Amino acid sequence: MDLDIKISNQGDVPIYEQLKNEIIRHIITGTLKPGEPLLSMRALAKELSISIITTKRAYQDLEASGYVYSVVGKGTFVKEQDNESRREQILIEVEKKLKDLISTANKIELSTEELMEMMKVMEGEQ
Amino acid sequence: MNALTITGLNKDMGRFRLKDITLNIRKGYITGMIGENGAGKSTLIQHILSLKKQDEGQISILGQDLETEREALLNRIGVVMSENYLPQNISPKKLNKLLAVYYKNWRPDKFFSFLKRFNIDEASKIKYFSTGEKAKLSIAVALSHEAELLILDEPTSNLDPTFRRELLDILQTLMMEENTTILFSTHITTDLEKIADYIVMIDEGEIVFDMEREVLFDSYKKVKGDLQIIEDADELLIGTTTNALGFEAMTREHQALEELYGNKVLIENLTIEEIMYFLKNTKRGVDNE
Repeated sequence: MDLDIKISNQGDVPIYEQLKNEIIRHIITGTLKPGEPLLSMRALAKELSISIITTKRAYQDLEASGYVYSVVGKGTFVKEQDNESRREQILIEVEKKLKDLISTANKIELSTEELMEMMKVMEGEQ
Repeated sequence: MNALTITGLNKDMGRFRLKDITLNIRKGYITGMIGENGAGKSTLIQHILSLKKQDEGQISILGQDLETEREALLNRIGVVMSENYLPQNISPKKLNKLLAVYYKNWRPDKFFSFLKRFNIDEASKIKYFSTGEKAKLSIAVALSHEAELLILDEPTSNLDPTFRRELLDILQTLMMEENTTILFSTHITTDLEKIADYIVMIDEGEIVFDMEREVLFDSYKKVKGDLQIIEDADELLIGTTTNALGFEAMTREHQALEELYGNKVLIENLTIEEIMYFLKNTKRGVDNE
């Protein structure tokens, strides 16, 4: 597993959540193929200079949501995915968050254009 | 599975007391022990190493009783103390010979390769070393006898930032082995922020919390807001401080606060240092002005 994983220590997203999202991204975009092994939790923790318990939490969450499976004594592997339906699921999640966003923005009558502008600025910062 | 179990430990030292310490250090993980200077971290470690004797309570290490198995156990523990206990009048080369007698699993090859890596002169007497070099030397000793449990008491306080980072990397390499356990005490919390799996906070001789790091950062959040909110939300706030513009506090109920006050409050993540600060604030009674 030779992946590009970016973790920020400054952000408000917990590290296990960031790690989980990064791995999901690699699974959905196909850089991680079904059946491919993930790095061991301890090796990944060392690579990223994060705690073992953090990688453990991310791997457990990934297993619970069906992205990976683990074999005792062998490690963790990418599960066969229906990428179409996965994308669909994430789109639904994005829509839900957009609704929240719009309703929050409405409180101060922020226009869609202004929102878009803010998003572009944020994207540039990331 | 625990590498170290402390049950009901009490010690009265006159001006200072360790109070009812019950603590499990989980095998295969890094536990960080934090607390201010004088909080009791080193005193507790001295009990673990049986350098001090408790009034009450049991300590068991790697499944064995400390009192009856002391000699055998000390062989399996690697120790770095803030105070230097190495003989001063000999060179690391001589020290190697001494330690080969003392430790059953002494590994000279490892020891000399650490000395080289840390840039320590193996021929000159230890007393001529700088504080930082002495610290590095005791780290090299602790890492060279196949210890299953490493106890590091303020190992980084005399080290420069580059070496502190290198040490964290060395520790993480050790952790690739599932049987290694590390107990790491420090008041420099940034060192632990990233790599500790469990965090134990000690204050005034008592354990304030013992939590998995993810749970700790999920449960405690920083909250900022307008002064009007303080009175109303008082029960949800810990260690509140105020200034002309508003207040800052810690909370374990950030979801409740968000639901109650919406965008009138700002919820942020905390650092270990801030968690210590807010907890100390409560103790001082700053929030009950």
